[in-house]
Amino acid sequence: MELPGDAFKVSHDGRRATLEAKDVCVLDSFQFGAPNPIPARVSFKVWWEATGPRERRGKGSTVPPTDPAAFLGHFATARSTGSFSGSEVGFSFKGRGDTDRGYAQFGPERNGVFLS
Amino acid sequence: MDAETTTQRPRISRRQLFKYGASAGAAATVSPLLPATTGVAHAHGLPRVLPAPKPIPGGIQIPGGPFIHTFAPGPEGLTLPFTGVPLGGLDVEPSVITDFKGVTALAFHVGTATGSDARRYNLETDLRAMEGRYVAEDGSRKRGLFALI
Repeated sequence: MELPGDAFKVSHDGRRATLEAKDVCVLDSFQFGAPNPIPARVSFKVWWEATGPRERRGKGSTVPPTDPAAFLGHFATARSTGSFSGSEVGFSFKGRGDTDRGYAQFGPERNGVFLS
Repeated sequence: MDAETTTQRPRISRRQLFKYGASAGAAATVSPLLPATTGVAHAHGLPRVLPAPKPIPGGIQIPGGPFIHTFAPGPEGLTLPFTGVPLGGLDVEPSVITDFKGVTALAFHVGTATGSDARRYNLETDLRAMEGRYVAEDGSRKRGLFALI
């Protein structure tokens, strides 16, 4: 989905980032591919803080474009936390999560025509 | 975002999709040609970017289902606890749009949520932000911020 440009902010030193959006309109079909999705709204604020140095990732154009490594990036592993809420007719929720049992990263990357 | 119920309430989860390392948001985000589970969305009150970015050419074929243009980067051997998604390694594309140059942020959160029914739910997210330049479907060069939730 498109978000306003100021919804995502990266610190000057590139070690922290935030993403925040409110009342984003989505369609929730509960199960993938299920018919009759219903309108819903979600809001979230997510923080990333790098926990390590940026590392080169990807293999660029040395692999086919369909390869998972068909990109070049400099990603730092991060810890991320987030708060989330959502609502639809008859139900809403609020929650929080972190990446202590998950995973987070961020950094610059390029793919496709920007590999050449 | 994906909240997985532990009760009998209809799922918010798209567990089957996530089992294959895919994300409903990805499908909905980057192309009208892709099936949408979490439908195309936009921030409240904002116009959508036209033309849209293009999905990455790679992705995952869900057995008996659609081809999803997304991967699940992360340390090999790490499996997300609620969806059971195995992460595919660190040399794995986190962006869901191609012809893209910018900053990508990705997070698989694990946590809990409380529903309006006062029940507690498992919460697991696949949340990604892609901010930068991209070549759109019509060949024009644009700049924008896209998110997969």
